[in-house]
Amino acid sequence: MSRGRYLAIVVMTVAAALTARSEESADRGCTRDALPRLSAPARLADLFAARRGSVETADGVASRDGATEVVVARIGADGKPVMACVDNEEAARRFLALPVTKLRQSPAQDQ
Amino acid sequence: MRRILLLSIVLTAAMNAAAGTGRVVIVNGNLPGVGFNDPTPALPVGGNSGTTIGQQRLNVFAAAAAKWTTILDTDVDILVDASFVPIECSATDAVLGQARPIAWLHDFADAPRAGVWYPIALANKFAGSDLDPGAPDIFIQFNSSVDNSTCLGESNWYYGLDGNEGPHSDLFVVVLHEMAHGLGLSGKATAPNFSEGRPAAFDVHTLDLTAGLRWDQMSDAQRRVSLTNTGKVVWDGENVRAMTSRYLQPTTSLAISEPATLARNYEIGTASFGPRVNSTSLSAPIVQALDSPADSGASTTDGCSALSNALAVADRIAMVDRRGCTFLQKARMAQAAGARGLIVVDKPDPANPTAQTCIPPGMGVADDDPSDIFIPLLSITQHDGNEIKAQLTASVPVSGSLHNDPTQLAGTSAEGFLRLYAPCTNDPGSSIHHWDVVASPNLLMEPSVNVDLLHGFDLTMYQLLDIGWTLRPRSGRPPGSR
Repeated sequence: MSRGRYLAIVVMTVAAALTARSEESADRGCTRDALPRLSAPARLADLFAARRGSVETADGVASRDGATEVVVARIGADGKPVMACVDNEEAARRFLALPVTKLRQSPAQDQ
Repeated sequence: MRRILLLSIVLTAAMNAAAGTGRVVIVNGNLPGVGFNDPTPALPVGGNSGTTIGQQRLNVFAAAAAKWTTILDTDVDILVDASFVPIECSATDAVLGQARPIAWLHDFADAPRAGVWYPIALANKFAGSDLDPGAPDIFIQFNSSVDNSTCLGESNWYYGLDGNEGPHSDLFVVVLHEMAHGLGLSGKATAPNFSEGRPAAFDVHTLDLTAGLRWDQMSDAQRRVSLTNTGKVVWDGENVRAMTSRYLQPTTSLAISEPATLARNYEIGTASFGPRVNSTSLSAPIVQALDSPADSGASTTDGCSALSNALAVADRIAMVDRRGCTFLQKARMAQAAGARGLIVVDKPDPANPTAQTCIPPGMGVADDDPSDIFIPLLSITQHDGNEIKAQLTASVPVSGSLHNDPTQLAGTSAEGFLRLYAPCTNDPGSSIHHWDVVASPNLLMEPSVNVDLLHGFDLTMYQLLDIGWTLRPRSGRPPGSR
């Protein structure tokens, strides 16, 4: 796919997003320009929404679905952010809900 | 001598000439006025000379891209579709960002292995040409809301390039980490799943030492078991294995010498305060410390108040249970009783009481000053603690000592492989595609982007070598510091 063709698709996707206000209808790979114009911030679930589709390349068909690595953070007992890199929504929500003491990487502050 | 010098110069020149011309290129995906184009004035910080928030963000990404360019040898530019957008967050937690390869391919003409998924940036490198010309290869999106006080409170993105992030999140390190995932240090599907039944390049280097099989040789059921085989799921790659000794320090463990039934080395967690366990001599009988039930609970084994068996504990290693009070409080109670050291036995989290812990916790201190602590602290798992308690309850003497093992590095298996993160309580999403958190010093590709990371690639670049990347000439040598 040429760069011009790619940009054209991006522009069309932005237009579609602005018109329909539908995040689900957009290919995740093309939402980067649409998101800043959405009235509400992107939701956690959006980041893990299933991506479908493929793209023809010079050497076969490439798959566009695949895991997304998401960095989440919460404020620890010392006021500093504690981070974790996860690749599904359940893990992200578990991390955000867990007491910070569960984290091995940043030494637990209390018991 | 002059001939050798001349040969060296010629070889170096030839190697540089053979280096690929590809670069890591940031494609600014933001519209005017937002994200990388945010015009909000900002003071230069930590070597970042940008004068707007947008410029500073772009400078950090450009610096990370330049750093990757210095080591990756490819003829094809790696296009990173990057943007900053608002993502949901609260005053105490947030999504910082996300990354992924934009596409994956298998069985392309130059694929080194049949039936294996490769991220498109790596596939382009093998092909020597852009298989999807002009299209980005890696997608990265970060949360612009982090710079608002409503998101993570007063903790913002740190746009400096010097690692002095203080209470903020060091964007540079997070970008390095996420780009590595985009370059192929991830699965195509969440572990232990495969996409369309095919492994990704990462999976063919994932080895289960118990089964003696790599993940691409295992059934779905076998991989599900392997996912939580703590300490036995390792990276099978010759480049990483050859370089671990340059980056990791020797393991310190708790060596039990008696009784014979317990005699072995036990994995320990360490504390951020008190004397360093790897430079401390400690050898003594272990005693269960007892105290009065504290306000925080009815436990008499949490060591949260003055020890009632101080005479038995004196000059010995006290053992207490986790929870009930701070680690610092436990250390003070044991030290006041005359203990020579303290073992903290891990316990399940109250929020998830059925989950077994299998990695001894690190122990920190919050606001209090721990400088009065002069005895070493270490933690062990609940399983190991219960074994010791059973002997003590039966009045069988148990003796232990701190043991430094120069033959086993912190984060490696007994066989010398670097461990992957496979907690016995499955931590979905973090498992497998990161290094085990027991690695010491901390590594860039652990599941947490640790605050003590320096701005180096450590073993990351050798892991990339193992999956098929090549390094630019002269970048393969280990840097002098991490």
